[in-house]
Amino acid sequence: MSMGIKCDMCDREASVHEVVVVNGERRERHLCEEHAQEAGVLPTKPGPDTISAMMQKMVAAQHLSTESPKQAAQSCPQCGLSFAKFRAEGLLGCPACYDAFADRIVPLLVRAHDGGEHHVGRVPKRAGALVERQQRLMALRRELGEAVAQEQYERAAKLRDEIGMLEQPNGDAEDAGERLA
Amino acid sequence: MTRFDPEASQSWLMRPGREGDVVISSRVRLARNIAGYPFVHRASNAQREEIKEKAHGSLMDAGIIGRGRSHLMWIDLAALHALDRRVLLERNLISQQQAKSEPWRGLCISTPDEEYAVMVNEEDHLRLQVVRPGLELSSAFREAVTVDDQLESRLDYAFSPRFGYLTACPTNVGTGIRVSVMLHLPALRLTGELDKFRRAAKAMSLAVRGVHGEGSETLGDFYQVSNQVTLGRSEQDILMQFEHEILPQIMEFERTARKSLVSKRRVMLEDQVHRALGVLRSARLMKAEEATQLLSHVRLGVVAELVRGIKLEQLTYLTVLIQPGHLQRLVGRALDQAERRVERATVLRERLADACG
Ligand SMILES: [Zn+2]
Ligand SMILES: [Zn+2]
Repeated sequence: MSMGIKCDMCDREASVHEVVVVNGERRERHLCEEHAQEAGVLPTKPGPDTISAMMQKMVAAQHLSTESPKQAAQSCPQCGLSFAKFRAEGLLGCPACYDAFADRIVPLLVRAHDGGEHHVGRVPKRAGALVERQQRLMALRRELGEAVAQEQYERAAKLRDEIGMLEQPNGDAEDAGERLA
Repeated sequence: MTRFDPEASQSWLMRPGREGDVVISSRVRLARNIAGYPFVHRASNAQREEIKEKAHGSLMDAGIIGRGRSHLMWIDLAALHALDRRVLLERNLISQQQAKSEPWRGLCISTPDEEYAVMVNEEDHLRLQVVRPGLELSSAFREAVTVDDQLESRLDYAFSPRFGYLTACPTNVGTGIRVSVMLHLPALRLTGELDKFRRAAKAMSLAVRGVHGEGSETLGDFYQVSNQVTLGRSEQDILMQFEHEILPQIMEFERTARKSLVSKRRVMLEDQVHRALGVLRSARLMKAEEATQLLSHVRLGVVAELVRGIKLEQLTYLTVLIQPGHLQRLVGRALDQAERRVERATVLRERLADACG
């Protein structure tokens, strides 16, 4: 947000604008970040966040070891963030980035999370329906494959029906989960 | 302009807590993002406004808290007086990042207890935190989950079965949970046993951070311990690790060290405590760093029953009250650094008037 007003104390652009009432008199104050910190209006700079710093170090190390220029230029189809930008800033651009960069992010996750690479824990109820449905679909498809291989056509037809039902987009709670994917 | 009155509140900071001799506070934070939007740093201002409105609406929706709480306060951070943003920061209700005045930054807090806060459009769309005095991790987590469930029924969260709750920084992905406790460990430092604690924490992938002043030295023997792993380990697992492994161990270390100080180095301890109290009760100019360190000594004195007439929670509140934002809010006008030192000394003298050795 640029308002083009200079700091009261120096020539830099002010980033803090406030109205102070002193003895009933209304006074405007405009301060740059540094002077606002000095005045105790803005907090002083924090130390580096150890966790993000750690992540950046890891990302940088990985870059040195394995990455090709082509990979660095690759970007997320949803938000357009390039992997190089992620490496520079340590933040992903959107939920789809996780899948877009999965091959390079998973090794980072494994290191940052002490070996953890798959979610364990709470699941949103709507997404929960989605997870269960996906697992159910996967199981049904595997069964279908077996049924076909064993020439059990009646069983295969039943399984196909069941899969078709599950895939219907107009379920109730499960439909809400669909949008999360 | 919106105002936030620090002295009118009955913050959790002023309440006694379980295991309060070692554990100052327990905090549970959940990071959440709304599906269908880029993360905050990559969203347009229009999208950020939309996210803020969605979050605001869902949070204020009837019944989301309402269990004996007086009320919820919604704050557009840009509309808040800069000094009050600083006050919120000093109370840990917002982060450094959230203390900026962009119009799309929002905050929802429960008043007057301030136990519950949701930052909107910080690094993630939603950062939901519950904080309580003393060791209260389980109840803080239960409360956070209640709110999370309520929000989830109104918002679609960005979630993947493989990676869990999706967050802007990959260090938070999975459960999105950050469990942390603020500990007071003066005896472990005095007896040179802090490394024991650091090693134990490190072996459990927990981060230990000191509370720093302007320099790099740790201030007042306050340490924050938090989990680093959020992927591949459930929330319950992490809580269990805190409540049944690391915390009983560290409380035992610290209490043993305190006992040994009292029995073997009593005069040294008494000297340190009474000297600190003497300075706090008579100084006319006081820096924040010095005050924090002295209050830490007095805290140990109260626990060791060398000081009477003041409670631990009063000391906890004082460590916040002597910060620049609070001091200026207290006197109702802007103070420069020199004036703050005078005011800080005055506040400490007044509020420690009843403490005696
Ligand atoms: Zn300036
Ligand atoms: Zn993306």
